[in-house]
Amino acid sequence: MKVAGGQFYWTIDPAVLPAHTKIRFDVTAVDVNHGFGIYDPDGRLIGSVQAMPGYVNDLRLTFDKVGEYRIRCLEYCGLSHHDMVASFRVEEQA
Amino acid sequence: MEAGTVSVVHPRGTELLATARVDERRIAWLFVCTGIALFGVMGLMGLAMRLNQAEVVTLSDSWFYRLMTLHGAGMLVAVLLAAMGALWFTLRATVPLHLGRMVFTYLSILGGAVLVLIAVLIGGFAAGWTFLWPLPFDSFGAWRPWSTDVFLVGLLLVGAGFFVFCLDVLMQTTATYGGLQRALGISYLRNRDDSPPPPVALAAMAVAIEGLIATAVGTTIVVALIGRAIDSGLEMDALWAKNLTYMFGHSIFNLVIYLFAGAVYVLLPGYAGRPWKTTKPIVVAWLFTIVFVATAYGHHLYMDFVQPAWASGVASIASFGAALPPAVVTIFTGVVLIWGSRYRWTLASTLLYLGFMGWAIGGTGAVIDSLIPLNFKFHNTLWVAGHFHTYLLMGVVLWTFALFVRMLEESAGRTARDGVSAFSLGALLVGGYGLVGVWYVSGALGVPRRWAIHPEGSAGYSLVASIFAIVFAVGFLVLLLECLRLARIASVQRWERIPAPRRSLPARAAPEPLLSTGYQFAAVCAATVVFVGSYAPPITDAVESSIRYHHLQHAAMYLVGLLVGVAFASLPAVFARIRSHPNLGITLVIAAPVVMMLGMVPAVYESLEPNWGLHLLYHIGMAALGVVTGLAAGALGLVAGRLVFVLSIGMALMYAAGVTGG
Repeated sequence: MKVAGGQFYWTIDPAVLPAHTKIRFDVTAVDVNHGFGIYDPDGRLIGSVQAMPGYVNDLRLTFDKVGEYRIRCLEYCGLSHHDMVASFRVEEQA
Repeated sequence: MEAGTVSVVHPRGTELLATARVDERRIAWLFVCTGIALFGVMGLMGLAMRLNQAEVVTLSDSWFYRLMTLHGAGMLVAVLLAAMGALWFTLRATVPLHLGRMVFTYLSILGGAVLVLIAVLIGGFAAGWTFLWPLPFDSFGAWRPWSTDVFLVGLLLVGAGFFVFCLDVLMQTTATYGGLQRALGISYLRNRDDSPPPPVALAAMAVAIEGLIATAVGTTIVVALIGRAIDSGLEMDALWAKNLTYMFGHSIFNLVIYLFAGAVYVLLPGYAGRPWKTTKPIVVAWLFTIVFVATAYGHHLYMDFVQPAWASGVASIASFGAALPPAVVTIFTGVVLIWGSRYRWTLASTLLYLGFMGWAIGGTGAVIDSLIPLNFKFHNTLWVAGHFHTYLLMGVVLWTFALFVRMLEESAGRTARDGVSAFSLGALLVGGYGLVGVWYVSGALGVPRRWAIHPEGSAGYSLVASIFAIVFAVGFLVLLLECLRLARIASVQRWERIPAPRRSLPARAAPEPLLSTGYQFAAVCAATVVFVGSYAPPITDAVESSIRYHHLQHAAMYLVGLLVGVAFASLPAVFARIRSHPNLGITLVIAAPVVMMLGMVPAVYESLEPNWGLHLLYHIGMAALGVVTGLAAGALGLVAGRLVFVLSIGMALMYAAGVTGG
């Protein structure tokens, strides 16, 4: 999954991921530092990685729970830092 | 605790308590009172932020993050001032620290704080006190560009003040105890010294050495950012900037605890009636801190997977190695000192004791966060706010109150009232631990830190935390009112009449030049030739292909000058002249590296390059700055001079490696 953080949005591609498969997130930033925090469908923080301009951080995770995962910015990035949220879905493979 | 004109310390404690002279008391009052006043104001800002997160009051996003920036920077200044005042107050009984330099430290830090206030309150600066590149210059129109410049200059002044403090502590302590090995207790460890320095001197040495390193790193990143303010084409590596920023920020907050730990070694024995002697475990613990604290910051970069794995491994070990030994040894020996001693429980001595608890609990929270698997879940959650508020609020701040009350109790000749003390202590404990407890719980549940508006459903935590914060504030207010009562009882004349104590200070070591043997001179000459070699044609060609190589060549020119300066400074005739001007030396070792780095801003040198003569003059100027730094370092004596020499090399190379653009 390609992830890019910008003031104050996330671009995530693709937006749907298969369950029980190791996923590699390639996380970067287009302007300032951001923090890519992944919350599971129950609202628990299951991991995070920094999104840094000029670098790509690889995060590898396997999702066993299907549902909607929320992304929250975990590195202060400006006045709308707390509005920098997004989500992706994890579904069982057909 | 009984009120009345009774001894405020242990019956056998009078001779153990640091009997301070007027200068020491005045400095302690100045630093501690300023620290407490700033703490009160910044605490109210913190409460306002918590109430906003609890949705009880409404702050605009701009004001929330401005307050967040001010709260962080202001609290740093508050606890740093209080802790420096405490160490100075207690260390000066045995080490003749320089009064004028301490006054400069105060004025420089206060001046820096005023600039930070202007940047935030008038300019709207809200990039956080950590000023992580490139956010200060990428505000999305939220703050005025000039506010970033003013904030950075303010930080530079704060850093200059702390640098002077650390240099003075290092110079005077090593001179007093006869060199670096003796002052660090290494000679005692090797059974070559029967009278080791007291524990306060060991802590002071650790703080001074690490403080100088951290401030040099902090100055490098701040000057690089100021360079960006001068030249919009200047760029820097984000990972490089993050490493430097956290090395500075993490270390400074760590050192605040160690500054106060040093003071506690002197203050506590007065209430226990037993001396706190230097033992080999205490020496080893502080040596561990010196070795490890500079690399412990790396746990802030665990979630930057591009950071080399070995660096994270080192950071993990260093986080334990720097924090645990001094905490365990100091807290253990402190509790043993108190145990069975008929400890004199007053408001001041109880606060001292409770500060251990805050250090232990906050330190444990920090160590948990520094474990890589747990950091994966806790990074930048409220857990982080929980652990550092524990050791600062329930450790350093309680110790600050302890020193404040102790000076008042001594001046008044009586202790604080029992009932008032119990109420205040109860409110401080319940409010403080309730406040930080909510951070731990909500952080473990993943609530992010530095959010103006918390995720849906988590405002309740902030409400509970706000109530606890108000309870703490009530305890603080009651304590202040009791202090006011004690201050009324005491008269200024009373404590100023306290006779100056007779002190038997060890013979001071004579200053030594940086280089004293033929081998050392030969090594410096060889290094000079190597750096001059950076002007060989193949390297000069390579310089044209990379801005980093270009900057490295500028740095090499500065280093050539630095080596020449150090060699000159070590010549007997020159050393005899410069050794009597240490204050000029201190000024120049701060100013010259800053000018050198500003000289490497592309906009400064690019306009000179087309003109052969001006270009040559520029390089001669870089070398001249090096000579000035080397001569100035020579005026500081062997230990401080050599450390400054190494730090100057480090600043030049760090800057050249990280800054590009143009």
